[in-house]
Amino acid sequence: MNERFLLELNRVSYTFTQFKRGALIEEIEEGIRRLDKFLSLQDGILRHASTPSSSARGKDRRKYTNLTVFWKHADRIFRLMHSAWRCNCVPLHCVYIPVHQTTTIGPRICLELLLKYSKDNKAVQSCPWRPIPLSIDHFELLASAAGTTPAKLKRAIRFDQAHAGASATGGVDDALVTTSAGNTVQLRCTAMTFPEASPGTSDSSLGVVHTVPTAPDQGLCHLAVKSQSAVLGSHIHTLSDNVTNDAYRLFTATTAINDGLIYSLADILKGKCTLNLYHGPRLSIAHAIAVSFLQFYTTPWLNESEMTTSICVPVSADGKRLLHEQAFVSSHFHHDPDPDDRVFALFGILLLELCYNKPLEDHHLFKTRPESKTDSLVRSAVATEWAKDVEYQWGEEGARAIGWCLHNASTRKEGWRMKFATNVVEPLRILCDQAGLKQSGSSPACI
Amino acid sequence: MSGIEVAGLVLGGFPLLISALEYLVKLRKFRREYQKDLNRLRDIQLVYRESMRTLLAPLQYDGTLDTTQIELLLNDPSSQGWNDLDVQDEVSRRLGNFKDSYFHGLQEMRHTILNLAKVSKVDEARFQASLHTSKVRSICTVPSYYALTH
Repeated sequence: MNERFLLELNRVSYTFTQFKRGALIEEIEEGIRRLDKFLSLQDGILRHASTPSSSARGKDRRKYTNLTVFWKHADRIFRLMHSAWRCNCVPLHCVYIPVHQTTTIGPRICLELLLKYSKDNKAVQSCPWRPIPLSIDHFELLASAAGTTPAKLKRAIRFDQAHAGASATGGVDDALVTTSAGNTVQLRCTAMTFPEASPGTSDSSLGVVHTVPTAPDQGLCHLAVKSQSAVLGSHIHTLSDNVTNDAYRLFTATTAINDGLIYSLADILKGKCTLNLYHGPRLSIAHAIAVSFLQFYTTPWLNESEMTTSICVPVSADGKRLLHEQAFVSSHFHHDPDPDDRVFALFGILLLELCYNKPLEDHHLFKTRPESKTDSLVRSAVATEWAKDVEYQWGEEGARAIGWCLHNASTRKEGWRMKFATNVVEPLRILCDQAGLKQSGSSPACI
Repeated sequence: MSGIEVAGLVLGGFPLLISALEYLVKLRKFRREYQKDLNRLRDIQLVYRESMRTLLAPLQYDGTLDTTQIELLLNDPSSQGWNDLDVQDEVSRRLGNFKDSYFHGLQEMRHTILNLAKVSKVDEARFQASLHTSKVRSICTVPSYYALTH
């Protein structure tokens, strides 16, 4: 009885609140209309204020910001190193840059490389120095003017006790003494600078850097000889152009490259190597190369016209495996880049070759016209034909990445780096994720 | 709680109200009063879901969410995705200068839904208990009001 009474009571009371309920429901409807109005206004603003790079927005943009500015530092490092060689043997010297850079995480700018006297040290009699793995860190100087003007150290980008200790005790010269007091990094430095050695005075006051060479400047080759005995992690040199506030410190590092038997990517794809790169490693290399392209294209580090021959993969010590995770770009100090839109087509073809694990020349369309194998127009046409089937191998994402390289890319378009990141690097990263491949530290996924 | 996560709470509020009303509609005595509200709320739920889809759709183009994740968010208001920092960041970026007004509007809607639940007796324990003990059986379950308020 009580239950029935309660239900009846509620029904009556519910009926009495009809107007209130109606008002509340209308309020909700009005609320949704208001939210939609905000959305449409904002979308209208976005449409009118669209920037050239507005397609690459949000998360992707943040992820790749660091990678898209890296090339400026890479370019500067190349030119500083190039001018720092004072030897006649500079055409012999080469650099191996791992495509899987392990330290490009977050805002820190750091380049890892292996400095070699020559590509094949054994071929050079009395080779003066062994390969030196280096880690090059960027830091900023607050300089009122270049040259001998004292420059205050704004903040050492990287500082840790290990390096401080190493540089103070195990460095090859006593150019740098680093101490730490609380959160303040203090630096007393008599730095060797290139290219001009100008006279000046050495100021030992903390936090002030005078660019005064303390010894005759004999260049990087001389430094490389001295660095042979350097302790791991030692600061061995600082590169600065005395014009900008950017400076780069060279630290000895551990090598991520097996400097033994190596095969170029071209040789592997052509089957000149008995070892195979399987689907996963090819995908991983494709992604790593795309990241490297973003980091190094338009700098002299990357020889854009010979990518497949300059990208090399070491073989394991037992000779049974290609160490794809140690793939590197081989570079010299005498390359002058010539940025050209064709490079994207070449990159697209490289991705295609990695996708199908064979060179473009092996495509059946070339069988009837072998003389056209070097014709860039015919190659592009064959690549376009070949790209139609990429989806069956690398899915939609792979097709998107390759299609963009072959058809849409242009260095003339503003913000092409970000577009390359979002249209090529990101799809390849997704592919790697889907394939369950472990990404290297340079992967934007880790940033 | 003042960001996009409130959108998930609002989205979760509709099924609670609708389920409760569906249950009550099964009772013949209440049919007339509740049916009208039920129909309006179903429509509103649909419109709100589409509004949320419009809000989230651009996030699939910058890689924050894919279409499956968006559907998951729309279908599961309790999904942790609503609390995801990347989603929150991107929605804030998407809304630009309207961010604060939009989130304020969402908060107001949440309060309105709470009021509606109160007025509709969805949150009244005695009433709920009487419904459960009544002989009417329903295919619908009355969801917990707790989920809406917390």
